[in-house]
Amino acid sequence: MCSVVGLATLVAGGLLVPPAAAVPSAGTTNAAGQGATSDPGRLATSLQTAAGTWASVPMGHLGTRLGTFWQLLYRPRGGRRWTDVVSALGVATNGGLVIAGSGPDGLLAAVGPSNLLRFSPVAATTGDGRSWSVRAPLAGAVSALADAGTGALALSDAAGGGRLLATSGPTKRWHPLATAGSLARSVGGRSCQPVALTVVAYDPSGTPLVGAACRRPGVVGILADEGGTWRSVGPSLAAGQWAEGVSVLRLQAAGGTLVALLELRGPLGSGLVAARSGPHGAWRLSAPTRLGAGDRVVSAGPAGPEGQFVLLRTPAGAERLLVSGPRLSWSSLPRPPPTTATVAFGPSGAADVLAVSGSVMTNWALQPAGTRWRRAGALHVGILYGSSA
Amino acid sequence: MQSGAGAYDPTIVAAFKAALVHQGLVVVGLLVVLAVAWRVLRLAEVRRAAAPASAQVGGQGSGSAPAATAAAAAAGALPEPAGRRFLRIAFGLLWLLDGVLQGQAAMPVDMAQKVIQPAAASSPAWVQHLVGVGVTIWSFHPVQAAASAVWIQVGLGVLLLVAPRGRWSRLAGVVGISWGLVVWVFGEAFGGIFAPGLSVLFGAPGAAIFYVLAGAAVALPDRAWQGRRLGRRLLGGLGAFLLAMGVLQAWPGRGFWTGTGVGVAGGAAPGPIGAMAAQMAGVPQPQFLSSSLRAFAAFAQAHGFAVNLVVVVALVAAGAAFLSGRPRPARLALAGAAVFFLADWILVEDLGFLGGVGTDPNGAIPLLALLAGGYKALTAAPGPGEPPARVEPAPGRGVRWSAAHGDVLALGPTYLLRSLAAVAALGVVLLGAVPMAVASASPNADPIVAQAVDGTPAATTFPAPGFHLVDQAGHAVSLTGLRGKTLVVTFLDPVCTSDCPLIAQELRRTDVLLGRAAARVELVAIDVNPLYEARPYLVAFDRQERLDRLPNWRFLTGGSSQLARVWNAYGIEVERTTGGAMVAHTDLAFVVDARGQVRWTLDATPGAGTPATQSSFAVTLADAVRQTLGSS
Repeated sequence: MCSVVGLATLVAGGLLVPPAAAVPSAGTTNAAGQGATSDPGRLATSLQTAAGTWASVPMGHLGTRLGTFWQLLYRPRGGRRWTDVVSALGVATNGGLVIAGSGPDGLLAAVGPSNLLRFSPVAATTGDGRSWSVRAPLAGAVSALADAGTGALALSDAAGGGRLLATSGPTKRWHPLATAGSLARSVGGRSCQPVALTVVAYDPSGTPLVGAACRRPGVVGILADEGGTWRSVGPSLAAGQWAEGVSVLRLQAAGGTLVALLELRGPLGSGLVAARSGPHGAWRLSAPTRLGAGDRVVSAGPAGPEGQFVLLRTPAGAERLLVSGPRLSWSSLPRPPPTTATVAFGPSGAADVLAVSGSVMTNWALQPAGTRWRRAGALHVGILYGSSA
Repeated sequence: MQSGAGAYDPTIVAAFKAALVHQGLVVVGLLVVLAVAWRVLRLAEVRRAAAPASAQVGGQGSGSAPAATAAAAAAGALPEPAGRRFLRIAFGLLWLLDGVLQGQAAMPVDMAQKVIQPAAASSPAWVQHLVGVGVTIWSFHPVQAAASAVWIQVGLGVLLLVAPRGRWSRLAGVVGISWGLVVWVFGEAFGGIFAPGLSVLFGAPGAAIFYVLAGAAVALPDRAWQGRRLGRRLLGGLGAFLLAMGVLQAWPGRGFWTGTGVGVAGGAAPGPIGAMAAQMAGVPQPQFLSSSLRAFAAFAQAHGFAVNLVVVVALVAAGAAFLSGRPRPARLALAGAAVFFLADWILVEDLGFLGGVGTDPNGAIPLLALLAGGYKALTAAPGPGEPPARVEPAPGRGVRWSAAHGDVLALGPTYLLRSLAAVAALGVVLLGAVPMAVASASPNADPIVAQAVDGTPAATTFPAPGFHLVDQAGHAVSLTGLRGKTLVVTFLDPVCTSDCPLIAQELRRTDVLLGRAAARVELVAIDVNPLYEARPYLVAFDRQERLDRLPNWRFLTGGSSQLARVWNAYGIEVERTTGGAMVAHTDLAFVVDARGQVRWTLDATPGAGTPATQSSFAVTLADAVRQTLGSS
């Protein structure tokens, strides 16, 4: 349930959001229109483990599918240099890379299908990624992953809005858990009427969660699997301002709470809202940060233990970097360099932006004063163009 | 669809040349046989002419014209109509030229992908589907198809030239209709009449249809050529065509009236005429030709309205003049059309036969030839009320074709020679047509396509390295346990995105080609990815490639060290590559006999992975397996 302050802020924010033109979206949409997100499964991102920081970014000839190779980059805790470990995955990464934390210092990675490969290989590592073990493959293309150590969740594409799959252990096969259609018929899903499943996560107690884009306006589709019964556990929004729907872009357990990133669409435009669950299922919501017409989410991920970042690209090609901290308020970081793919936040909150040009990744660190970015290093990745043709 | 080989692939070029040489030797042999036959018949004729008068058929005296000649003289032999003669010789030469052009080295590979397929690219789906049939046949049998096209067209050209009258000549016309229609449908996608941007300047409605019309005219009986009616109709039809093309050229909204249009990125782009000329300028050709084309393209871009106005006026005026059916306007129109279409032939069509894959001089020349033939038919034939010209046959020279009946020995050397030449020409046509028809009936590609990519299989004899692995169902499998069966052993990566799925399909196809013999064969793939060794990945791959339905399919895996030993033993190099690329590994296939000896080693690289290369490799592998089965 929203706080009164949060609700009032939402109302005020909704009135201030300007009309938005139709925004191109390559992936998750709801029934009422297109959002500002690219396919969540093909967003560059980063995450922090106990061992270090991971990032998945597309590199190469980004204009062509078989010329784009997703890279898995790693920087050890306390280290300054990034390394490319994607070759350890042993599969062509033209189809995208989805990553999720696995335990305190592990990583789960799924490679999207491409060309003549029509299923998604899945592998896991701990530490610095020198050795990997495979998990059972996933049918179709994966768009989201979550790992609880004793089990894992995955979203794969399927007609009708996506399919939620689960496995009960590293060596176990994936089995279907739900679809957008089955969730729409569930107790918790009736109010949302999911048209697309967007994210998966586990709450701090290990309960499987799925986020969705809802057909019903003003409803946030966060559903929890409580012993086989799906219940709605997301925040409530005041109807009216967001008549065109809400999509859940991120969902993550952080510091004993749930952190979510919501995209709201209304007749006056689109906005992003950071949300955090509190005791007894109460949620706190940030004021919506307004998206310009045509703004596109390029990357989203954690910013420190309880924060989130969103990297936007305007139609003119300029980047905007927004961060929401523990207090949920949005702030803008200095404009990142052109061709920035994602941002990686270290445990101390230090930010690195990773900019990509062809086969070169350049990382820029935020100056202590927080006013500009300083070039910190470059990584040349040996991309074998044409190898996937 | 492509064959999968490069345009000038040495294997295919060498095979093409060899096919032409071998078939050429057959032609030479045929000519020798016919020359001998002609000599024998000639000697027989001379002997009979020298025999006493009472012993001769028809009672002819020595050295005098045969009886048939006299009969023909009495009946009044008619010369070949000038219009028919013109068309026959013009299109005979054109077919001959086209046959020679078809012998260019790039034809086997590039004909399908650079000529046939692009011709249908803008046409409706049903046209593309129909043309696709031709593309498939050509890409599956590139050498045979290219050689056949050479001989059919050369034979057809010669047949038209050597057979001026009678059944042979009309047969040449019928063959011209048939082959012209094949070319028009499958080679020219109906001349692009179903695609946007139709213009006679660009060759619409397809050069081949003019060849068909000429063939139809030649195939007509003699009586059709009497009088001026045929000429009037031919010119009238062509005049109506030119008029329609003029209207089409003038039609607003088709972009021909402006020299520039809107490009893909929103900027200015040349209009259709300038764009075509600029595009043709890019074809490999002498510098002075490409310069002329570029200059004309620039001129058309700058003065689009004027250029199109000239085109429209020329087409409409010529069309109206030809439609009138009167000789004088037709003569003027013919002169104007000659200038106009020659300019079009040089400045827009770029002669049609350049660039290495030019198959004919495009539409302007055959259209002009038809117009000229029609004009001759209109003016050279006697008018109403005029008696037809008669020609007395020269004594001892043999009767004219129109009265060539009865005793062949009495018909003289010229007729004999022409008859035998016509037989030879028809034989050349059949030399091209029959093998191609037989090849087209096969659903499998020729082995040459795979050989161009992978080379020929290597015959070997060495013991197959052993292995103890586990298959996709978890059953233990060893080489020893498979004794008694012929094996196809290869190495596949279950998460490969390109080569391995293609190789898997080739193995499936091989299994189908083996038919009942497949029961004695095991298809064995060994996992070659150092990370994805778990059985669920083999199962996922099998399902993806529909190999789980093959009872004799085994996808084997094992521990990392086990697999590495097998890779090394078979000479398979495996390498994890950088930057998000697949694991790289050698693509080889081994055919192992029932006693465990490797009998064939094949390069299994799928190349472009086209249906032609896949089919061809499957045929090659199936042949190797059958040979191994036969020797076991």
